[in-house]
Amino acid sequence: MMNGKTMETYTSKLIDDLLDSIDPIDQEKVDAKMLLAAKVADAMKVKKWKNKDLLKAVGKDNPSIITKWLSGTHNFTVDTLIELQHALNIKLLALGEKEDEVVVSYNKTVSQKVQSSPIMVCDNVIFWMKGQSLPSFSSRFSLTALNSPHSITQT
Amino acid sequence: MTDKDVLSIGFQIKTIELMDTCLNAPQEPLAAETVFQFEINLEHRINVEKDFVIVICTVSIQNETKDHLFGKLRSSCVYEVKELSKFVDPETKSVAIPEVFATTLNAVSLSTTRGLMFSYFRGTFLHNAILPIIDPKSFSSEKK
Repeated sequence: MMNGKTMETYTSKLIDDLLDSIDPIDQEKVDAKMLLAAKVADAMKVKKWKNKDLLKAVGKDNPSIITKWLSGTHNFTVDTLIELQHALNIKLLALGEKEDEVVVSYNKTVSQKVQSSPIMVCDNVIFWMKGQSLPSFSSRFSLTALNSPHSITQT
Repeated sequence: MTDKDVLSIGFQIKTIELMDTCLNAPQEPLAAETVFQFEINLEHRINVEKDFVIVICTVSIQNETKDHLFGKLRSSCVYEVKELSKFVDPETKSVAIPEVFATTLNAVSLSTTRGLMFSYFRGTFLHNAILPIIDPKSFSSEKK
């Protein structure tokens, strides 16, 4: 919304007719060329390459060819695409690639209360006087490790 | 159970892999009794060409309020399933693994991951955070 006015959707019969008259195959061809150009441009951006860097990488000497490739209207040959794939380390051709795997995802959250460490409990406490011999531990003491009570709540 | 109810699927486990682990100790020692939240995600990747079902199990262990991640472990179990292609719908090309079989794969993968978790977390503050026993039928599923 600008200057208090709401945006309106512009409709025109002429534009609709023109869009309807475009052959879907032609549209797909244009889309593919644009997509390839965009992929090349994106890869150059990632590598921080200028046109001359790509020119050098693909071993060409005419700088205008790069401008043509990036225009989105160039009809790439398979050879050029393979050269670009190698130069930019990207995938432009998907020949022989398998269809995406089927992926099914399962989710669940459970909570469990546990004791962070076993607690040792002394069953018997024995006092002895100084000078007396120390009672044998094995007969007088019994140490029990308390296992954590597992209360499971499933959500 | 009638003969019609019997479903026989030959499968075997091919690989168990520990894919990713992380351990994030809390600032203060854990209380004597701590509630651990286990967030579990099981992902089935089905490759009909190779007759493989790869189950990737991710378990995140968080505190009760889920604002601190104590640890995370991701494992993968690769199963070879005989005649996996028979579960492919030839018209839609979609794969529909019988629910009972998917549940079995989930149960085996969860148990395997429980063992991997214990092996990885033993001796740490997550020593006692043993993945609870979970009904494998209780997972909510979504197809991507």
